[in-house]
Amino acid sequence: MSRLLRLRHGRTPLSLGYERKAGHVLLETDGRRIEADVSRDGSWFDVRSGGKSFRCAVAPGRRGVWISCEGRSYLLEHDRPEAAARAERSSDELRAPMTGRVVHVAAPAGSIVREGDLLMTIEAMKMEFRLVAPEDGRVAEVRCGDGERVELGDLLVVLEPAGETPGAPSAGPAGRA
Amino acid sequence: MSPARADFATRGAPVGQGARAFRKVLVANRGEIAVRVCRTLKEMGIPSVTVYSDADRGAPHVRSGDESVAIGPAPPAQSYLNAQAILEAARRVGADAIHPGYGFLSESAIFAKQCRDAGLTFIGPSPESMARLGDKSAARRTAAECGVPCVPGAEGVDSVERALGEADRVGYPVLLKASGGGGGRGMRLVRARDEMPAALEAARREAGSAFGDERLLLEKYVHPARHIEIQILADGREVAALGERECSLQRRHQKLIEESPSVAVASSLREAMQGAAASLARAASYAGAMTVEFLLGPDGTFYFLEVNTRLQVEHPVTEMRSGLDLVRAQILIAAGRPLGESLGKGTPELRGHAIEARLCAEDAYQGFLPQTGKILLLAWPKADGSRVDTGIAEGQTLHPYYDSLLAKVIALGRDREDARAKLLSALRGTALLGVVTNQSFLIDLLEDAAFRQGETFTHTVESREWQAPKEIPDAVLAAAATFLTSPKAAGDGEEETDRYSPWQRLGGWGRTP
Repeated sequence: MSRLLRLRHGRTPLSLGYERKAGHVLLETDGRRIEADVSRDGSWFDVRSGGKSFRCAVAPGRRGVWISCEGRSYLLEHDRPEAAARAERSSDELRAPMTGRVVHVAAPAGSIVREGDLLMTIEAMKMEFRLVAPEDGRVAEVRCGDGERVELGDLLVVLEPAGETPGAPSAGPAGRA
Repeated sequence: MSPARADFATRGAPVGQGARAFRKVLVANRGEIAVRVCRTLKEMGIPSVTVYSDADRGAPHVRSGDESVAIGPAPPAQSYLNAQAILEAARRVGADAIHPGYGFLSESAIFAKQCRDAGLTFIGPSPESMARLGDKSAARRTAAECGVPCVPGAEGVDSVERALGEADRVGYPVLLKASGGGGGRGMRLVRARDEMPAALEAARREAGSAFGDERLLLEKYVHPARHIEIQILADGREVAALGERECSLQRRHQKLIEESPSVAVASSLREAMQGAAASLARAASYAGAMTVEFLLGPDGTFYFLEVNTRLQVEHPVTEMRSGLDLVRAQILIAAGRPLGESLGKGTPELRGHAIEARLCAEDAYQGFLPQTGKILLLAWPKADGSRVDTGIAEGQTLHPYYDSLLAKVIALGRDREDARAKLLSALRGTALLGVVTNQSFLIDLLEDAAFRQGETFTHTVESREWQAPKEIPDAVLAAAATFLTSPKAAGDGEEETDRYSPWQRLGGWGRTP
């Protein structure tokens, strides 16, 4: 049996050729071949590879499969369009970097902002996160309000180049930058 | 799976001839510290009561006591900081004492007084001692009275002339800081006189725009600095100092790794710091556990920072070395027992080297952003010489309302290198899946040359870029591929009925011809 797994580690796509004969696993990735002996006990996998033994824990989650090995964890995401979109989020769509609560929207829709200006403050686990403008522009949309709860990845602010003609005439002086 | 625990014998005499220190103790906290306090209460034979918010209904700390009481909605202000709800819970269950843990109400002199007024013992210092040492400016005054130096500087630096005068007095380099806030905004380093006018102007402007307050303070720049703190136990008459902990490795003033002893503290310096800390305890007729924090400069000069009038997060470092149970000591002292009953004979000897690492739900490689989610798998190390204090369990969902601390892993070794090796082994033997944590980063820190050589300073963590491991180990790829291609892969997922689950669409796996 030979299969090809299309995964993603952070922003990096990862394709993994896989073949298994008895307990012996043959992998191919980036033109590199990996041989390993793998035995499974529930969530735990004993892997012998390159003359060394490792014990890995594996758990499937919503975003992909989680693997822990030697105290380090890895999330391999299923390479879907949404995952790709998240990895290459465009700079004018600012998304929630964490689940939390919006403390204060500092730049309402229509505001002209400079790179580094505060857009809003989000709070989670007693920490405040300052969402700042990644570049000069105009706040086209704000999708949340003070005190609102937001989830990781939620669209919060749409930023557009300040010079661009705004969609609605009421959205402020377009000529100013 | 239950955490591994080192067998450390508890010193001290058995609890007073059959008389329990308290009838019933309510633990007004959550997470690992609530679990930790309940463990000692159980060992002392004292019935324990935990409290929980709506978000913590199924949390492990709820099961760690003999009873548990709901105290309100998830936001801390409505539950764990809600003094009225906690006092009412204590009254309802018939508790005669409250242990506040750390954080939340533990440093509230008002709450300590409310406990006293309600006829309850607050397991901590008196409200008077707290007012004397817990409040920052009062503590600095107390320190000055005791002859313990603070970082030299001045407030209300409003002109170049004034700034130059103060800088000449304390010596260059100096820092200009915003009086109205922290976080590095409105902060300027001034190395020499000629840099002052421009720096003052820039700092004032930045402070004004960041905090709406242009006031500045000037301080001697202690660099590179270490954070050293002294653990104190006192009963209102006698004071015992239990050595230092070095907690220099921090980010945004949150400690990551703590150890004892410090490589930078020789016995004469230790004696001086312990003496300074003890004098503060005596000045406040302190009864309970307290920690005095100091900044240690490169020339061996130390400066008073603040007093924590409570149990410290990193107290296990001292427990591992001394064999004492600091929670037990707090309870006995609060019950009016003499210090000797907590300490045993004399001041305990501190042996070996202990290091603690704080496991937090934070992505250390992405600006330490807090992480939430469900813990899909959790396994603690079975290593000898290590201890895990935790309040999390497999299947638990982490909420954004509370602190990101998940567990503390502490190792005791013959010496620093032995402790480091044991802690690394314990961290490598820990598996937590489903939520991104700083576990990998803690391993990086402990393996880093700076840590191995004892070059640990308060700026060490934040002055460097820490990169996530780029390479995925072959074993991880082999395990993942084996798992994903097994027929059961789609069957045992998290929240299978979840409409967002990618696992319902596993048919999409490509297949080579």
